[in-house]
Amino acid sequence: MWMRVELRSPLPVYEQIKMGIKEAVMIGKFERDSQIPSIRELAKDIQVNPNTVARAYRELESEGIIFSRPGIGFMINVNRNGIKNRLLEDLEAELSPLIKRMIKAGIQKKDMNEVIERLWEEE
Amino acid sequence: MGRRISEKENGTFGTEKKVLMIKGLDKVYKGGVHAVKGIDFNVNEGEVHALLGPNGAGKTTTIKSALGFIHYQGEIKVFNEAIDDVRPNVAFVPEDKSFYEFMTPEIAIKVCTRIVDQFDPNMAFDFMRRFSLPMKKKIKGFSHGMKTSLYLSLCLAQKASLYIFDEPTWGLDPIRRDDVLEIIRNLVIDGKTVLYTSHIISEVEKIADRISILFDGRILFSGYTDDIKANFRIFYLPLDYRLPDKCGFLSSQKDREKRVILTADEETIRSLRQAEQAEEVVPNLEMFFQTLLRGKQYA
Amino acid sequence: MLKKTMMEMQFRIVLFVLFFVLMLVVLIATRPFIDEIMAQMNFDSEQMKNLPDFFKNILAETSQLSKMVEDDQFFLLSQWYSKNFGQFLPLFVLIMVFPMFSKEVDKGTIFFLLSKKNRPAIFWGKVIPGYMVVMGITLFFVFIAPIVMMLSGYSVAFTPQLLAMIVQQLISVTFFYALFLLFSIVFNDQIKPVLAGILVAFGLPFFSMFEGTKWLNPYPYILGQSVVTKGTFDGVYSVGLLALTAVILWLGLEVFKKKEF
Repeated sequence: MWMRVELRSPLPVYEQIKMGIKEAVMIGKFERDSQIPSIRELAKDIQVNPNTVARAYRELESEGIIFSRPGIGFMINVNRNGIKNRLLEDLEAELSPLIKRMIKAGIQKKDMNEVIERLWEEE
Repeated sequence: MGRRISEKENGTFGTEKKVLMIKGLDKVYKGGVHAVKGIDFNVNEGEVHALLGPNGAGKTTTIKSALGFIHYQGEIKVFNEAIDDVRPNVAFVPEDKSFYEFMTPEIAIKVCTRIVDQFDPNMAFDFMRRFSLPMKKKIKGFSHGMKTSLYLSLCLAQKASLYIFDEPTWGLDPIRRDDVLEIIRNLVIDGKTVLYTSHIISEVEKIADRISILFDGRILFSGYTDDIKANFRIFYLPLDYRLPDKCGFLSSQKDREKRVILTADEETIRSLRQAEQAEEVVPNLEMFFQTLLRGKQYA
Repeated sequence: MLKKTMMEMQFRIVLFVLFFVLMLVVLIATRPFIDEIMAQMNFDSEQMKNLPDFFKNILAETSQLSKMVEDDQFFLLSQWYSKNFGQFLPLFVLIMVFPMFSKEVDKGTIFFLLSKKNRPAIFWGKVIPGYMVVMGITLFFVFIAPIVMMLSGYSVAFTPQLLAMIVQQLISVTFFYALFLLFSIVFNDQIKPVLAGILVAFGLPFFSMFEGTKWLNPYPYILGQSVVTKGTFDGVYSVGLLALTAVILWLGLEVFKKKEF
């Protein structure tokens, strides 16, 4: 199963779905203009409420990551690079307050980099 | 922290139309049991709404009131009318899935065709076949799982708009349980509304759009399932930690070694993050439910 | 809900039809012998116990008695309607009716009905088919008895007295139907309606013990005492019972409408 919903994840289900789609593009499972599963299919596959999938798709659509063709379904709107940029934008948004906090507390950039290195190695 | 969610963004296959509206529901049974203590509660069109809570919390009383099985104080509207006027549009599977023991599933379908409005016997047959029910065997010998399948089949064959299930997956093996959830998903796709009660929180988390948590006759929380992870945080603090003056939380309690705070208040979260030895956790539904129930409410 | 009601009652329908058929067959078969027994009868206390109460009133004229017993019509009225069949009517209605509502509550199937239909619809959906079944059986046996006797060669006719007896018994059945129905609605298990019904069925005759409460015992009416002894139809009691039936039926509906499940 290429996407799985983790109840233990701090992300709400719809966010996990969005991430899943983005990651799938990153690893090449979907390309630009390729079709992703319908709301109904995905809901059944990962066993969640179709409304949740619909919401994820709606947000992805408004973010420009997917688009819908009436009568056909949802397609990917960006290529891998496009996703990469979006993900980095997300990363920046998530990290920004955190880093500000660290700076305020007097943590040095070098220390932060060490943490990043270590976390990267762990994965 | 994730983006805060406003109520309006949810609701996709359905609309904001209130299929079930409960205002000020209060019920005291003969003998003095105050089962429901003035609750407000809505179910929107097209959503799956789960009613959670321990036994005796008032879930069944709420459902029975909505269906007109018992008298109550307060106001209840179904599809904006009195329940007596819209019964064909409401299908109900009770907790006790007893059916007429002398009948067979085949006979049950025949009887329902006569008695139940908007009933489709072919749909009933299809569901029963899918559940592998023995069509000519007397219901008397049925197991709990089979009775559930039977009752569900008959209810789903009624072309209703609102489906109310009381513990629909209780006592079912995993395969049948998945079947039930699949059925609920399909109802959602068809734009139907589902209200159900359950003990199995992990199941609820994946299938419910909104949940209402009932405890001791009151609603402790009512909101979107997604809200919980997006907006709430649980903090484990040292017992001697002094809470800031302007502190807003949903629940605060003392564990064995820690003080546990459940809150969605942004300021509180910000200040608690700065506390030494504070452990911050994004709660899933199970943790949210347990923490909420164990804690006492402070305004 | 006629089919469902009949399915639920099917065992009892067969039971009572067979029972009454047997009763009728035995009665007609022993017709020739009853003559001899009655004719030889003295003030034998043993045999007296077998006679309905009001017979004892006319025992003074035993010679007239044996003459009356030679009369087929009298035999029919006194032995079938006034005794065998008539005495069983309350019990018959009780057994047919007692689980009508109480069993559904007891077994939990009432919720199925409650969620699908409104209270009045459920009420009438049970009461009317049930009444049709009970009345159907009663009508069959009140009419088949004289017909079978006629076919067996006895001199029996549909006289005004016979029709009066039939009407009184139909009204009696209607009354007990409403009463036992009420018990079935009021009680939530299957045993209490039966106990209450038995209490009523066997307890009512005790009202005859006291002059002032005599009228509360419906058995003389059910068994057609006035028809047999005086040849008259008890119109007053009939109207009274029907009025009481209407009140009890209304009460049953109201109780069911307001009940909590």
